[in-house]
Parts: sequence; C-alpha cells; structure tokens
Amino acid sequence: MELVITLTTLVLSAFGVIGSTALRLHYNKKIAMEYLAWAIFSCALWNLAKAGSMQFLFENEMASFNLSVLLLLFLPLPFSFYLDEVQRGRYRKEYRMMRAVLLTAIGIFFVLHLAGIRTFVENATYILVLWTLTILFMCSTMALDLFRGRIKEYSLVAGTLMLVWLMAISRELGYFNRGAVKTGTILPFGMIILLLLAAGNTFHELLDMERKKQEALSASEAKGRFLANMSHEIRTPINAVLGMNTMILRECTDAQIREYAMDIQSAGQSLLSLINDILDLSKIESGKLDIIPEEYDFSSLIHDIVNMIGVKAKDKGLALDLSVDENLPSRLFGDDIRLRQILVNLMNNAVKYTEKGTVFLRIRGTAADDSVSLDFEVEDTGIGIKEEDLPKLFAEFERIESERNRKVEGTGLGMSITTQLLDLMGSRLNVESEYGTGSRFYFTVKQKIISKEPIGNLKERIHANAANYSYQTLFTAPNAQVLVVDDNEVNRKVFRNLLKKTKVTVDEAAGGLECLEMVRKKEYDVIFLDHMMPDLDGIETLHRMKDLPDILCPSAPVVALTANAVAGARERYLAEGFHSFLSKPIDPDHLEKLLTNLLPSEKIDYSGAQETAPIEDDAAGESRSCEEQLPQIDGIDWKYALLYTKDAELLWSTVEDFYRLMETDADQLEQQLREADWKQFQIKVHAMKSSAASVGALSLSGIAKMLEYAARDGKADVVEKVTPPFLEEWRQMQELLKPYIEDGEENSPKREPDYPMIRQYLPLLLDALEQMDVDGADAIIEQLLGYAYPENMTSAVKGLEQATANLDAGQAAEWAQVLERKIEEER
Amino acid sequence: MEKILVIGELSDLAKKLEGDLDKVYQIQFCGRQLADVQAMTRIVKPAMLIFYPLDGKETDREIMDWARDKCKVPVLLVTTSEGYQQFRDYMEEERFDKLLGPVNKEELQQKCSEMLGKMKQQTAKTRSRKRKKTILVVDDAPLMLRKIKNILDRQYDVMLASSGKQALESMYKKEPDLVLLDYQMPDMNGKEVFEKMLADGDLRYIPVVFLTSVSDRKTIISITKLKPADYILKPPDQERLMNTIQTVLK
Repeated sequence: MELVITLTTLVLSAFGVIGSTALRLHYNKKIAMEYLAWAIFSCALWNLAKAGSMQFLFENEMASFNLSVLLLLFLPLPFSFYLDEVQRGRYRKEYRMMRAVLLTAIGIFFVLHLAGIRTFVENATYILVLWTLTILFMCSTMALDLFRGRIKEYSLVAGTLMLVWLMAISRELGYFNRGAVKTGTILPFGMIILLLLAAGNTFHELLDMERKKQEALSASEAKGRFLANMSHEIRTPINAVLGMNTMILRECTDAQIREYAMDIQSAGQSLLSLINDILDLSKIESGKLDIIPEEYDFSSLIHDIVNMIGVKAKDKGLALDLSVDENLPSRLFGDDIRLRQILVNLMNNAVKYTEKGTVFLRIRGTAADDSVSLDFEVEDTGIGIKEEDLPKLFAEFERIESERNRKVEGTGLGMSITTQLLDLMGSRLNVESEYGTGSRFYFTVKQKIISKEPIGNLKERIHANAANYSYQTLFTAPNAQVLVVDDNEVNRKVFRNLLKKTKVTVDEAAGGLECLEMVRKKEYDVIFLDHMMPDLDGIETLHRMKDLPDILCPSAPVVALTANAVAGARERYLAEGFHSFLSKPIDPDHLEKLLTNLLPSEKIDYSGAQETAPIEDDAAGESRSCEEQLPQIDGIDWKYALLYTKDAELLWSTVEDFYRLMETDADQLEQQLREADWKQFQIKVHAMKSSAASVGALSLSGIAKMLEYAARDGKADVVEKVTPPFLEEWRQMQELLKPYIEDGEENSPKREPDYPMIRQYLPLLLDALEQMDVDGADAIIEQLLGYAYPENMTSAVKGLEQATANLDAGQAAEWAQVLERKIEEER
Repeated sequence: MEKILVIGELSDLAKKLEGDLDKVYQIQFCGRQLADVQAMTRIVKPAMLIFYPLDGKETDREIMDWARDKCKVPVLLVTTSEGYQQFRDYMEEERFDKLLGPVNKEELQQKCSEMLGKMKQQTAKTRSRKRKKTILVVDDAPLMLRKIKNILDRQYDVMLASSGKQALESMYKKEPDLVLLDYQMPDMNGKEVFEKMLADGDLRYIPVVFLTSVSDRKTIISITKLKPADYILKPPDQERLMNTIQTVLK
C-alpha cells in the first residue's frame, strides 16, 4: 500500500515538473508550481527509499540509506523557492540567507565526511536539526502570512503544506523515536493533495493572466484605432484652415492681418505636428509603421532640415553651426522621411532647450562599396540633462524637469518616437550630457549609395539659397485644364486657390459621379481625385473612369488626394492605377512640382511666373457676388446673415419681412416698457434679437441681447436706460431699409379701388390668417395693396399689412372692420 | 366641400347664385379683372371656375386665354347664345363647357357635378404620387415662422402656428410628420407643448425638434430629458436644419 501510493506521488509530481516547465517555457514566466513539483518529486523518492523498497535496486543498504538522506537534505531548497514565489518575495532576504546557511552546512559536512573525519550518519544527524529548523522557519513565515491575511488565494495550499511539513517533521522525530508514529502512507497522500491544489491555483492564475492580457490588448488596440481615426479626423479640418490661411498670407497686404495669420499658421503647424506625432506613435505601437526605403537626395534632406530649424534658431537668437563632410555621396537609398523626422526632432529639442549659444549639426560618413555609414551628431549648449533623468528621456509623455521647463512646449512624444524610429532602422540613439552645459545626441545610420557624386560644400549653398528665398510660383500654364474632385467644398477651394497664380484652369466636381460626367464633356490634363468620398470613393471612380468608352482624356494622369497618410498608402494607390499621390494638407510647392511633371510641357510657361498677378480670392468673390445683389446698408453685415441663409434672394425676402415687422415690434416693446411688464418685455426683446441677427443687423441684435438678459435678471434700471436708445437705433434701421423695400412696391402702378372685390378679399384674408396659411394671406394682402386707396383708408390698409406680416389674426380683424366701415362711408 | 370660383359682375351674381349653389359647394365670387381672378385662384384653389362673361371684350378674352393656358381646372361658361359666339374658339378644349342662358338652378347644379366628377376621375389616376411630408413650425416670432417656411417650402408642406395652443389645435386637426418647436413663447412654452404632446396618445409619436436660442444648461437639460428628436440653436443654419429634418424624418 505504502509503495503504491508513493509511486503514484512520484508519477504525479513528475508530470507536475514536466507540465510546469512546459508552461514556463510557453508563457516565458516563472511558474511557482515547478519548484513545488520538484520538491514533491524528491520527497516521493525519499519516501520510496525510506519504505525500504530500495533494497530491490541497491544491494548495498548503506548506499540506499545515504541516498535517502541526501534527498531529504536537499528537500528544503525547492520548497523555499516555491514559498518565495508564492509569498511574492516578501521574505526574500531571509530565505536567501537560510538557503545559504543550509547549503554551506551541507557542504562543510560533506567535506568532513569525504575527509573521513566524521561519518555520514553523524553529519546527517546534525544537518537534520538544521533542516528541521529551516522547515520550521518556512512554516512560521507562512503562518505569519496566514495570520495577516496576506495570502488568501494560497491559503489552502499553504495550510496543506504546513500539515505535510508537520507530518514530515514528526516522522523524522519518529525516526529518532524508533517508529512510534506511522506516517508512511499519510505523508504521500498529503503531498498529492498539495500538488493538486497547487496545480489548480496555477491554472487559475494563468487563466486570469490570459484574460487580463486580452483585455489590455484589446484596450490598447482600441486606443490605437481611436488615435489613428481621431488624428485623421482632426487633420482634415486643419488642412482647410491652414490652406485658407496660406491664401491670406499670400494675398493680404495688411500687415496687422498678416501678423494674425502668421499666428494661425504657427499654431496650426504645431497642432498638425502634434497630431502627426500621435499618429506616428500609434502606428509604431501597433506595428504599422514601416521604414520605406526610397531613393533620395541627401543634400536636399539636409537643406530642408537646416532651413526649417534655422528659422527657429534665428528667432531665439541662436547660431546654427553645420558641418557636413564634403565627400558624402549625394544620392542615397533609405527612408528619408523618417530620417528627416529623427533629425528634426533632435534639432528641435536642441533649439527648444537652449537659451543662448549654438546648435551644432555634424554629419560624417564612412563609405564602403555600395553603402555608407552616416554619423549624425546634434549638439547644443543648452540646459543639459541630469544623469538620473536620462532614463526618463525616452519614456512616452515624460518630460524632464517639467517644473523648470514649463515654458517649453511639446508633448513629450518626440524622443520616444525618435528612439523607436531608430530602433526600426537598426540603430540606436546615444546621449552624452552634462547638466548645465549642454547635451550631445548621436547615432549612426547605414544607407545604400545610388550615386557617389559628392555633395560638396553644402553650407555655402544653403546660405546662398536662404538669402533669396521668397515665395514664387514656378510656372504659369494658362491653357492647362485641371479637374479636382473632392466632396469637401473648402478643400476644393483651397486647391483652386493654391493654383491661382499659375493661371491653371481648375474645374471642381463634388463627387465621383459628377467627375464621371465632367470627363465626358471636357478634356483635362490632370485629374486630382480625393479618396474618401461618400457616394463613390476615389478608387472606384478611377476604375469606372477607365471603363468609360467615351471619356475625352483617357490618358490624363490621375493623382490621388488623401489625408490618410498611412504606411503603404502610396503603393496601394499606385497599384490601383493612380499616376501619383498627394497627401493632404497639400503642400503648395509639392503640388506645383507635381504639376510641372504631369502637365504637357508645351502648356507650361516658366517665363511668366510672376508675383504681380491680380489677386482675387475666390471665396471672397463668391460671397461678394451674393453680397453684390444686396444693397450696402449701414449696420447690416450681409456676410453674417449669409452664413445662415445662403441664398441672397431668400435673405432679401427675410429682410422684407423683418422690415414690415419692425414698427410693431418697436411699438410693442415701448408699450411693455411703459407697463413694466418684464416677462413680456423679455420675450419680445428676445424675438427682436433673433430677427435682427437673422438679417445681419448685429449691433441691434447685440443690444437686444443685453436688454434680454437685463430683463431676465430684473435689472429694471438698465432696461429703462437702454431701451429708448435701442428703439431709436431700431427705428433708424427701419428708416435706412425703407427706400430699398418700399421702392420696389411703389413702382407697380396702382389700380382704382374695386370695393366689391376688396370686400371679397377681406374675409378670405382673415380666414387665411386664422388658418396660418401664410402664402394665402400674403397673396391677398398683395392684391389689397395693389389698389390706390383714398386718404382715409390708407391707415387701415397699412394696419392690415402689418397685421398680416405679424400673422396676427385678431389685429387683422380689427383693421378689416375699420376698412369695411370706411368703404361703407365711401358709398 | 368643393370650391368653385364664380367670375362675373359681383352685385348681380351674388344674389342670383346664393340660393342655387351655396348649399352644395363653397362659392367664392370674383370680379372680372384678370389680376383678381389670378389672385383668387391662387388663394382659394378652386376645383372649377364658372365664368359669366359680359360683352366678350378684351378683359373677358384675357380671362379666357388665361383659363385655357395657365389654369388646369374645368371652366363653365354661362352666357347667352349670342354671347357664346365670341367664345366658340375656346370650346375645343375638353375642360371647357357651356350653359346657354337663361339658366335654372337644377341645370347649373347638374352641370357642375358632372364636370367636377369628370375631373375627379382624371386626378384620381395621377394622384398616386408621393405625398410631401408635413412639418409644423411653432414659434411666436412671425419673422422666424416666415423665414423657416421660406427655407422648408421647397421640399415640405409647412404648417405654422404662432402659439402653443394653436400648435396643439392644428396638430389635432392634421398630424404633421415633424414639429419644429420654439422654447420661449408667451402663455405656453415649448416644453409644455412637448409635454402635452407626450401625454397624448396620438401625438406622442410625432418627432419634435427644438429650434430655440435658449442655450442655458438647465433648460437644455430639462428639455433633452424629454428626449426630443433634436435640439438646434437659433439662428438655424439652412443646411444644418434641412439635414436634421431629413435624418429625423427617415
């Protein structure tokens, strides 16, 4: 019996060892049960030896005994590791010391035994005392934990473990007492239970871990998706803002406005770069950012960076010192966009954190056969970094000494992106910094060489270039026809404006279907197609366009426009059949360069590029044409009104209605003021506020708003003081409007009054007003106003007109009665 | 009741027709001026015209020309046999018919119902077209009512109401497909109107869009608690308003 149960323990613990080792390898995580299984395995072996079955294996009883003692001696080691894990390293120091003591003791006694000074049995007996103490120590730590309630999830395991130990100890004591207590069967039982409990615990923990991992992963994925979407959503409107602002900068001559526009530009740019940072980070995290090697011009890369940073450095009064090895090859193969990003990040930081002095950029290289190792070095004389802060440098959203550097703007993403990008490029960023005197960042990147022609003295060239840098259109092409397809009106406008100076004719289509219509009617040289459009997206449009038999320009290059600048987008568009790809926000220089490549060369005129082209903004032009239909009236801002009512005709009819209501509005307000009926006053003035705003009479609306609030808050004195001048203004506006509105009415010839007919109209008018049939009422009043009334009736007719404008049936009925009476008198 | 527009010398006609047709049809009289006839047709939207010409002179022919070219309803010409000679050329049109006087009550009634019946058959065939959706606009400011009506008129049937009471009344008469409701109105504010609607079995399913310039948090929260279909701030942006209405009506 004892033999069977011991063998079972042995097999089970062997499975435990194998299983937990496999789990450890799979999850790459420490599995506490592994130690326990080892401990139980050796314990079972020892038990087997104790059970006396060893005689079958070993003839020599001495050897069998020695083995069993050895197994027993080493037993506390895996146990202590197990406990250490289970107790989350709470008593790690003590356990470490305990293990050390035990091991040295075993070692010393072994040496003594081998030297023949003492016998093995004598040694073993002493060590067994130490062994028992060890076990007792472990028991007490567990009891402590149990007592303090720290190991709830392990309490079952721990309890059983202590029982097993107590049994083992009592068995050892029994050994000295010559077998007073028989524990040979109970002990293995206890160990099996222990093993099963521990296995259960381990599984539970692993499942828990797996679940948490999944949750975290999906959360992080959702975050990444959200960031990517968000930044896309934000980029589109910024595109519009920056595009329009570029137009202001180019075309406005007022210095003050240009200054405001410059502020918009810089704020917009920093917003855009922030978004780009976030997008980059989310891409890196989700593994979607790739290094895309391409052929590029090394000197232009450096040139761009120096241009970009040079301006900032100059603004801060810093010197920018550039030293580039003149023998570096000029054309390379690599991801210039990312390289540029890294350098700009480093240089930007250098400028940001330097108050005075110099920012250095040094580029050296060692060329091999077909590749060159470029050593980049960015050094500044700035504030430097404390040594203990260096690890923080690379953490996301961490900013070093945030207290001191509060004024320095930034998100804290730059360095994190830089290091991760360098990782992707197989390089790493090195930092040397002395707090207070400056920092030096350097890294090495390997790039393939396309052309070995040396870049020469870059520094001089850049200086020469910067001196005469100003905005200038590359070319003009008055005969070129370009079609831009985008569902966003502002984007189309931006696009059109960007090309205004080139004199290229730009046609617009608001969607794919419209585009398909237009290419059948007109021949275009280049077509720009937005990708994301509601009805038919860019790719679908392109495909349909290619299938159309009757298209007039089948070979015209089609360029994809998109704000979606994800890695691989370019390749995807090219694969879909686009000729090229332009990312939004559209870079004007980029666009012009692209056009010089795509337009037929005979249509491009490089000589005519000039800045004195007559400047006329289309956006302004459009609303101006709307405005032109409307008379200039002091105090009315048509632009504001047109924001809400886009149709000039519709707006004018609103103005006419407004005009007709002005008198009664003013009268009623005056009456309410006299009666001090603040509730009604508030409602009335509120209505006046809205109606004034809807025709663009902003100042009137503003005063009305003030009065409304004053009335609401019961500030009678304010209301009483402000209302009279408000009414005066109001009536003045009425006078201003009068000629424009009554003019048109007086033009139509008036007929002799046909009284029977008028009497037919009156009940109809009242009925229409009762039913709120505005069209009917308006038609009737129009007829009624068409007669030339004798002097005594005009006031009644005027009253009817007002009542109709006010849709006031009661008032209309009164005036109708008056009119009837007058007609009666006439007869 | 079908509406008939009677064109002729007002003083005589009124007495003559009062007893003849008044009980069966809704009669509207109109003088023999083209401008009047046009206006009245637009206002009354009659189902047919009865025309009493006087002498076949310029004004009468003007009216007949207009009735033939611009007007789509049946036209009954009531005249004497001599007078009829001058209008013979109009009678080729199917819609036109004549009664030669002197005319008695029964004859006139019979002719009218005959002509209207014929017309009904024809219109019944063409009426299967889709009905325009109806929108009720409630606002105490007439200018706002007119403005919104101008905006919506092209695509919807617009009903107007200038007070909460009126709005509820017209809703009981004809249920609109959507209600545009102002908040700040005298007597009964928009919220109260909405609450009344919600308490009513039939009206509670009509979507309500608040259109108001009230933008303080408390009011907005108290209104949105009632779950209106949308909440738009004044002044409404034309496009936004149309889009909202379209989505709500879907």
